[in-house]
Amino acid sequence: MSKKTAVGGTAILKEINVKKIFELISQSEGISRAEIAAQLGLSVPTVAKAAKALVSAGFLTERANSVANMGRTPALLYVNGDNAFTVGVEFEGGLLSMGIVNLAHKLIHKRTIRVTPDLDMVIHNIFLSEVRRLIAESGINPENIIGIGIGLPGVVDSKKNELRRVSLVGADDNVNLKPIIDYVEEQLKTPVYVINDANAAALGEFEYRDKADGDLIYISVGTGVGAGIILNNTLRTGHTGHCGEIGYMFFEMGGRSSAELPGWLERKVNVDSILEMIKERRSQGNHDVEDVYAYVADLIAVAIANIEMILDVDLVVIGGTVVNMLGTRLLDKVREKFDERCVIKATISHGMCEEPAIMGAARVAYDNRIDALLKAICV
Amino acid sequence: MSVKYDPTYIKIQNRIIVLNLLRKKRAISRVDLTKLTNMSFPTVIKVVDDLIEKGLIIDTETPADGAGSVGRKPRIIQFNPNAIMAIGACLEGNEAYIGLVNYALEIIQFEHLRITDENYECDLNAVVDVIREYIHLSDTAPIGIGMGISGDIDTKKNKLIKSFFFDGKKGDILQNLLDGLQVETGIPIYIENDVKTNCIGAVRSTMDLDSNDLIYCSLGTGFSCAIWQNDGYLKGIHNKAGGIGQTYLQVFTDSCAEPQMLEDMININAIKDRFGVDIMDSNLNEAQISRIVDYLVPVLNLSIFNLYRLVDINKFAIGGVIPEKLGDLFYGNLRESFQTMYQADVTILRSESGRDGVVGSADYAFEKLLYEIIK
Repeated sequence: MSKKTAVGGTAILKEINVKKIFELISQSEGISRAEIAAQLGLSVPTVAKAAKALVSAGFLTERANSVANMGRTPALLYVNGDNAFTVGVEFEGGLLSMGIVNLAHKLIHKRTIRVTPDLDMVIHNIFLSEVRRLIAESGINPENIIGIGIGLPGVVDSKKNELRRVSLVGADDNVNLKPIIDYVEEQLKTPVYVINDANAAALGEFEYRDKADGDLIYISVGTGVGAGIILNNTLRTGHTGHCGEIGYMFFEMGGRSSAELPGWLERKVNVDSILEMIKERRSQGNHDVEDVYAYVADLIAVAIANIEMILDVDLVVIGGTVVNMLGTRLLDKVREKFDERCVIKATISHGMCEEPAIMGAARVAYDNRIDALLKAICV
Repeated sequence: MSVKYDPTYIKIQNRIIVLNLLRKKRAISRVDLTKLTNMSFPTVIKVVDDLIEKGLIIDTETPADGAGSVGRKPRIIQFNPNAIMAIGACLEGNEAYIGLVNYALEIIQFEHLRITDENYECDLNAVVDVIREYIHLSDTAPIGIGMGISGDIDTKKNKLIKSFFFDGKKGDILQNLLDGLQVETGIPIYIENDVKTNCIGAVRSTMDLDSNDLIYCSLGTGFSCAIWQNDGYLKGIHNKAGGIGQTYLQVFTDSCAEPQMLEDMININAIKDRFGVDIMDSNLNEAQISRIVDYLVPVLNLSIFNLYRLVDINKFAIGGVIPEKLGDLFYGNLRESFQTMYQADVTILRSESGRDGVVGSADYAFEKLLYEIIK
């Protein structure tokens, strides 16, 4: 983002205006042209012209305002959700979940199946038929799908189109994503975008909460540990796409790190090791497993405290298999330990979005495609 | 950030883009500006004319290299580094660095003073005297004074909120002196935390055209960092981002049940407790330096690695009074041991204490006054 490009002339201005107007309508529950003009500091004719183009291209619908009681009632503009759709997919080892999301960012249909954690096998033998089944079940015309977003575990380097180090989905070496993307695009005739799964979940949760200040950290504790970091309304990906790989952070001295080893934090806390601990306790007649909760809560609380001291964000959402499995009892303990440790105040919460990774992955497809679609109507 | 999409905004933005490009490249032809900015040629001509009129850039007769052999060669336009000046001052605890800096961020004059606890007010007045002297030194009066001060700063109100060094009455004396100087000279003063202004300076001195992203870590009485990402540093919701020194270590080892804060393990006091030397006052011998380096390096490297993993920035500048005192051995060991322990592609730079702070503080003032400069 450091390279600056020119802001440019009137054509770009028109594009920016159309996009701003569409975004504002997306966020509202019906809004009049005059209100849009007032909120964006644009003239009513500019708004009217853009709205006309958006309505005739099918992006917007308008309905009379039933609330106004005197004079001519201004028509309200709404996003036509059924004009176009995106597909969001989450592949986290043993589960493949996917959903269709409409232009108004509503999840309209989803399905989840158990799969073998093998990326190559899943993509070539299962993925296409499952996406096609999802679309068929929803009754949507496949031509109205404008893009697919896929959330994958591991570091997604979108500059190099590479997926790095994800032994849990059967990819020990770096995976070149280009042939996979090309293959899916060719088969399904729609653009494909790949994103890290924790980043996708952060985007999904962020969109659902509609946070005004623009910051959120999503921490996922499951097969591995990862985080999605949103600061100033922007998802941070970093230099090589590994921003938020907190599973690799060390909170004790003496550890080494290398390409072959899993991270320190995710070695300490992951779904397999926690299940093993619980099993062991239960076999000894200890069914309360209080110490397991304390152990997990302590690690997650320290991780959050340390991240908070560095980034100072007011909302941390925790999710993933371990967090879902241990539920509210874990969350309460995490909060308690965090408050003891950290001088910065932050809210720690469970996820509120039903399918954050699906929604976030779909959002990536939406963000990549909407500009081009809106640009087309400006010509 | 709320942005109005109006023509005036675009005009200003276009000027900023051209000016910043010239600030980096120093000299360029109008044709190359067109290519680099994606602006139309008429727009570039208009913007360049505006900037020439303000004296910020100079038209030259020098033809551009490598231009076609036929027809008139495009002429070079040059950045005029001395068109505007600012003063940068960094008060890092007992150390005060003051500099007169031009718009190309070259230090024209530089002074290093000490602020002692015994002669606090007198020493602080000496700092202000140097600033006064610099104001009258150059033909072009400085447009602003940027100050980096160790402590929590309210940048909106331009006030010192809390500081370990400038606490209570000392803080009041400093604030009064600065307020008085502003009234007396009519030159605006902008205050920011010293780690952040050092970070700006380190970013500017790397002159990396591809990416500015960098983390500046400062180790002295405290341990903190500033994270520069996407053309700005992270502030955090409570203005507390960068508190790497307050992260915890060694929580789960058997020998140490209690969590320990990083800062308490490696700051000046920790070194005093552990090695029985005051790193600021004593002339350390080689053996002492070596022992302290061996102790600090693993903790610092772990911090660097955690930051690298969290935000994926691979350029670090390390500064502060402790690295300054320990010198080459410290930086050499830090780089070598980082590679051995973590095998990650990370560059560790040595931050010249004082220089980065002065340049960064001056640039902070330039940034604050950017709109005034180009409008």
